Amino acid sequence: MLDLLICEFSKIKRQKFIQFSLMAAFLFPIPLTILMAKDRMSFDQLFRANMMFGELLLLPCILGIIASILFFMERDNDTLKNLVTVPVSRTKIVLAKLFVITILSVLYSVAALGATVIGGLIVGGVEGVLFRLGISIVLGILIAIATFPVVIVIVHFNKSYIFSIIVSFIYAVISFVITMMLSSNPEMVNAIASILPISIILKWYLPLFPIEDALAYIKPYLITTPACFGILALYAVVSVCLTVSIYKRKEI
Amino acid sequence: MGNIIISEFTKLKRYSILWTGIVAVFFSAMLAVFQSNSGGGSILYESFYNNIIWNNFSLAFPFMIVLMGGYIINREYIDRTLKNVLTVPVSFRKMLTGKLIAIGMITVLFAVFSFLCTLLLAFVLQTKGMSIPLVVKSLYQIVGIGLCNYIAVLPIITFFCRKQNGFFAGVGFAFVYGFCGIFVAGRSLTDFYPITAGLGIFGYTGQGTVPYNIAFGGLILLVMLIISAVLVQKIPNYDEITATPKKQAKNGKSRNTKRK
Repeated sequence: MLDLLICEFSKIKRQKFIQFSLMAAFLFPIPLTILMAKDRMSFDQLFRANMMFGELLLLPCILGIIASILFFMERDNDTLKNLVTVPVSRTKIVLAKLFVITILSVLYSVAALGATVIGGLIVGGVEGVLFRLGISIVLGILIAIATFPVVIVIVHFNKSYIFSIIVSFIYAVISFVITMMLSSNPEMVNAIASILPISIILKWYLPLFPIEDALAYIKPYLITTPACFGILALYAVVSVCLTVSIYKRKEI
Repeated sequence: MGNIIISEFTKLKRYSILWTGIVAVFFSAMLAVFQSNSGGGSILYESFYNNIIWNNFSLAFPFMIVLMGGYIINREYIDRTLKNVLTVPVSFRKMLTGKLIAIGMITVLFAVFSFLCTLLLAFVLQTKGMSIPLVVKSLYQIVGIGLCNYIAVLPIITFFCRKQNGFFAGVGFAFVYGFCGIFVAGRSLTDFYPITAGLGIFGYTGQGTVPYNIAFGGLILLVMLIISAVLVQKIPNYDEITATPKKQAKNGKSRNTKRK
């Protein structure tokens, strides 16, 4: 399994987009730092804003495109037949690719934290970096799991990159809009926000830091760590099983 | 140039990429329905179409224009047709200019489609305050701001078309670029940010009584046009664009030598 992981990483060295995607972690922190500095916001607020826009919105889009690159690689280069001949089981191939997605997600998340800390030095009051590092690593894993349903669609339809981009962006934007509505009108969207993985992540994340009085109305809708991890573990198991099952049925 | 643009539209009929635009525009309109309904009570036509303009510039248009534009240009690399076009001869620069103009026209068509969605949904939702002058104004604003979005993302399309599949990165960048318009709109920076510069020029009223500096907004978009023109002018020759990267060529050569 480790060999497969190393092999996947060797292959993505040639993929410029994947290297470029880590730089995308700096895209939101730059304008947000300027705005937060202008409005004299705290480091906590900067960290939350970067998490919401950079990770809840942008990261699923990027991971969807990365997933399509990883899964279409074997199809485009006609290498799946070689791997199956070695033999490498398709379950292991899928697991290796999903692991790569998760590791890249964690790297993005840590890079985003780095950008936030740099921004925090400008805004002022950087604190709890180690705690935030732990949160960022967990966030990376959770967002990767939240993107697994998109991977199922990408692998199932096995279409063009354009199709994958559209699916990833639509999923990310719909999830993000519902998550935003959760913070403005929780009663209206709570039912759907309790099912959507991205919203569940926000519901888990919010109580980790002190919540302003203006947002106190959202407290009854937040969830505990075991509840969040339990739901997302279920998502992970179902998504992996479905992806493996679909990938096994693919013709070589 | 006319022939290049016409041939682009002929080719476009075969591309399923147009569905991207249809989905993006419709999605933006449906999102506005959701936003308008969340407040409860009756919906005003003006606030409804303002919501659609907001979603268009922040979510749908920058992403959609770069995706479609990048795809149309990228097809020449994938289908290996660049060498044929050059044999005609049509220079890459001229072809790119034609494609960019065609993308501008497609943007206008999608903006009109966005207006038709607005009108249809406004009837379905039975919005209040609809009048012919307001409907005409909404058409003028939706199309105008859509066109300004096109000018704002023009340098992104031109820059990321230099390499095959380079537009994927451009699409990601355009998405963030458009989304950042949300942070800027409604502040004193509206006219300074290319994506939101069109709001002032076309008199967007969704931000209350924010004073606009129309001249500065126009100047920003003019700068974007100039940057795009410079990027088109500086586009590498056909040989450089289609050549195998030096590193890859070297590896290929050494592999061939080993085989011998």
